[in-house]
Amino acid sequence: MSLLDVKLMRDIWALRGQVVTIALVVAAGVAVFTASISTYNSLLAGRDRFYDTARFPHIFVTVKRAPLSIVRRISMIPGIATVEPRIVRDVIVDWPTSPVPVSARVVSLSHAGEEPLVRPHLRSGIAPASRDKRDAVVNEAFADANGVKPGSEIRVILNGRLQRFTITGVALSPEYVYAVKPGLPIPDDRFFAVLWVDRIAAEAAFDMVGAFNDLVVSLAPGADAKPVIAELDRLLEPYGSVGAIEQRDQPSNRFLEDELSEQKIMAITIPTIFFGVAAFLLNVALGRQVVAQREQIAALKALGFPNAPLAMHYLKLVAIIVLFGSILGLAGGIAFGHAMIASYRAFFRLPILDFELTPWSVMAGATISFAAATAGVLGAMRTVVRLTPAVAMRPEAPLPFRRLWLERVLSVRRLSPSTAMIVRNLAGRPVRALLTTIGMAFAVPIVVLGLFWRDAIDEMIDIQFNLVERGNAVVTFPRPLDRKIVRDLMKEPGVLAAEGERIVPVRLRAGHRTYLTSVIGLQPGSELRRPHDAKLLPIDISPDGITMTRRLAERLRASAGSTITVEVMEGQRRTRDVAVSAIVDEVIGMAAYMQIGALNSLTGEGDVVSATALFVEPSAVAALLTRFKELPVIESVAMKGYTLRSFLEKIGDLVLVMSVILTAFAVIIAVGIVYNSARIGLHERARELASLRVLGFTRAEVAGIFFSEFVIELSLAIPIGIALSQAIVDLISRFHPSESFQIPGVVGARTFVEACAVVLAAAVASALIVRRRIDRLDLVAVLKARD
Amino acid sequence: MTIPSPVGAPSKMVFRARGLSKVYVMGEVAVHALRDVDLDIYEGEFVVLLGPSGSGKSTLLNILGGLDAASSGEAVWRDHDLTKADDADLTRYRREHVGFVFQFYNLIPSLTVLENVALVNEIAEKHLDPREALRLVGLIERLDHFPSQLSGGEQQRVAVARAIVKSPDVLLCDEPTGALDYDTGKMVLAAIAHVNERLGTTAAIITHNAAIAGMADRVLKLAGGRIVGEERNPRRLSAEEIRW
Repeated sequence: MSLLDVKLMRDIWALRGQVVTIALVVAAGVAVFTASISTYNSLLAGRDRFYDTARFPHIFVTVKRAPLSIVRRISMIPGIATVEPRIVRDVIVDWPTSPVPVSARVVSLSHAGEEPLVRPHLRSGIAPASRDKRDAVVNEAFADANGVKPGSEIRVILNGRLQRFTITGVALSPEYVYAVKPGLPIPDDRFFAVLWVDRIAAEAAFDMVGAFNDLVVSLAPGADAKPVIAELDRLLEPYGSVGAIEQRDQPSNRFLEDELSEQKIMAITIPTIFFGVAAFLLNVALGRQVVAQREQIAALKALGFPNAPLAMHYLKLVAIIVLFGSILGLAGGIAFGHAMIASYRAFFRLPILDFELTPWSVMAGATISFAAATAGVLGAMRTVVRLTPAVAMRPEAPLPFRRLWLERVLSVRRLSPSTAMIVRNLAGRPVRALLTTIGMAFAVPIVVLGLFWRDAIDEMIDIQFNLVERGNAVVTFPRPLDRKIVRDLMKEPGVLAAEGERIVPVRLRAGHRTYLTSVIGLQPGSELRRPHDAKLLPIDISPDGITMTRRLAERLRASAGSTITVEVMEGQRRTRDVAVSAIVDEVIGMAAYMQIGALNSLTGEGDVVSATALFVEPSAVAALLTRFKELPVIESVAMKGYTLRSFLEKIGDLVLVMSVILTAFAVIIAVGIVYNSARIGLHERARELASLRVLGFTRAEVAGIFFSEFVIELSLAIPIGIALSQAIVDLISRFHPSESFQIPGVVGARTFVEACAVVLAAAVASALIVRRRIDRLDLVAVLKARD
Repeated sequence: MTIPSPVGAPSKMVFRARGLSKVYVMGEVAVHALRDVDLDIYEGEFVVLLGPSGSGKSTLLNILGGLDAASSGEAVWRDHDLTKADDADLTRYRREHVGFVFQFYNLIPSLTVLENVALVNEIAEKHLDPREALRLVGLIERLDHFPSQLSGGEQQRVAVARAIVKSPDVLLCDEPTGALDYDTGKMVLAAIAHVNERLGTTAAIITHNAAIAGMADRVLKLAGGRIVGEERNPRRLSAEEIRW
């Protein structure tokens, strides 16, 4: 081992506090980076594997009823590889213990579970045998939420008759990674089941012998979906097709994609910010470390060491710190990734969702850290070696302090000397003060990024469920019904208000842009569903024209006054051009609104409704829901209170993991900055502080003067950090690509207070550690040293 | 100008040390910096502690000034037992009674001359006007300069002014001319002597420069951690009179 290496080892030991805090910053950066990238890639891999093994179709078509004989013709369409006709129907489940009516989607199986497309992935048990009428497989999400196991019995109401199925297996399906109950914007596993039954059972139950109402298609490799869809629509239109959709528009896939893009933000935005801060800190802390050793470097140069081995000496220091940090970061990243994946498992129903480390992320993390640190060290080295050894061996010349222009301008003739020291020290090293302030400021948004989701969700729920949807239940009907039903529902005990709605599936077209969604027809002056504008003021739906949510308008590049084409996807399938009358701001979904009369005339129907929003007296809800279970006219009931709670619980787990970890990392950043700045500051100002002690200043007074600079920097950093947090959250809100919901750029006061408290606490704790060193200053040794 | 030596022995004792020892344990080696030193210093006296490097003179001064603690023995400042004092007591003692001047001036670089001196007034109860202190050391014209704009001698005189502004009872100077050239060194010594004479401040100067001894009432010679000799000057020389 060369003597320089011996020096290196001893330096590392002597600087262990700084080495550890800097390595922890590297570790935190590498951990967030590695965990986020790997988690995201693990999710993608889990999804792709599932889509592949379960043969997720490329095209989905729903029809009213079509004869099986047409399947042969369909399979001849060029580009189609496999066609699978199915019977798919929503039914009510008789589930006495549930407070809310439970719906189920019954899906037929024609190959005893060995389906050529969308094969259910059995988690336990077996699929119903061919021609078996009594057995069913249930989706895992529902089974888990309700304690259903193979051997359990499920009773469903089929065409008004109660039918029992014995559960033989529990399965996952790529079609229902998210199983969203009709009428709800978000999944709720407790109240929605998917039941796979043999085709014979479905034919009998729904009177569909020799027929199908749902078709899934896979394409030959390289085939284009568009002509296939056009041909499918042409062939199936007579049978009530609502239009074929591609995989990307399939509801579960759409929701999954949204969730994945959410994770992409996590995987890219947050680590980038975090890593930027970590790299910046590394650069600054190690650069200062080199400057602090300037006399040693000069002495070694004076002894005849060339620059290269000296640079290598400090690069070894960097390498050891980065290596140490990266190993810690790798371990932390793997643990963080496992925690994230564990919390995602309840959210992403994929058969295999394991944390898989993305190896390049570790390499990239370590390399970026090393590069940032190297840049800092070499930059500092350059300034040191540029001096002749004789000059560099002398301590750095004192800063050219002068009266601040502010002092002159304000003719503050006499600041008290200790105040002048504090102010001029800050002003004398403006770049350092700025860097320290910015570094500490960035710790605030890191905590905020972990916590603000809570505020965003609160805001989202507040806007959507307190301002827009003001009823507490929505019932949907299996087909459009005469408006009379609303009056009937109004008569039910406990119902205080009822408003009929018509929800029509449509394809909206503006130029070459299209989007599949629903138009919600509202009665004029509706109270239970009131769209709002950007200022959160309620707006009335114009009697003609269509009103759409801002994200839908942006997607279609439409604005108020432009004309779009509405293609109705059911009934007579009419197509009309309609003017956009207004834009509304809603956080969940990408819906459009029309007045119900205008919508019904567009579809060519009479005065019909397909859903009813209800406001039910809370004490009467339970009895009413029991009654609804008996009404065959009701297809499903959505209770937003229950759904919200379950959604929040799930998101809560995700957010908790994230906020705990990001908060811990923010602490590392704040400690890293304050501790290292204070140590360097102490090194530079030891003589000054010792002089004060000799003059008779107490330890507390000296520490007060020393830390006043940090107090000033911190009090600047906090508001800057708050502003940065708001800006970053706004950016995330602005560029958040989700179609399911818009993240409001809202950060609550509590979040800011918590974030600032974390940063302050970390700063104070590290200051206290350094304070012990001030207390132990060796006055004699410091003052006897040459100036 | 010749300063007459005090008539008879000064009456009041300010420092009394008995059996004072200091051992620095450095790893496996114990260094005896002071061995069993007995010493009395009287009010208003000008004492020079003379000795080569390692003779223990700085250690003695540091213990008397409350910057270091003795290993054994007794050091008393008037009625304060310095050997039994804790850090807070020593801090108060330095604050109220002691002014230090070191070889390296230890000024605060971010404060002007006037501010460096006025700094002490933030903590000292009785004090001079900082301008008056600076006038005593002949630096009244450079109040608004920063230390980096001053010569070494000027900086050291600021250090003297800073040491005396709180009207200390004793001024302890550790090689105050060590880093200065001949002329500026003499200027600083003149300032110290002036303070001793004008304000009656007891002054103790450490030096290895034997010529300075001529300025003292009494010269204590140290070697090997002991006081090996004591001389009383019949007449104190002024700073201008000494040569080296």
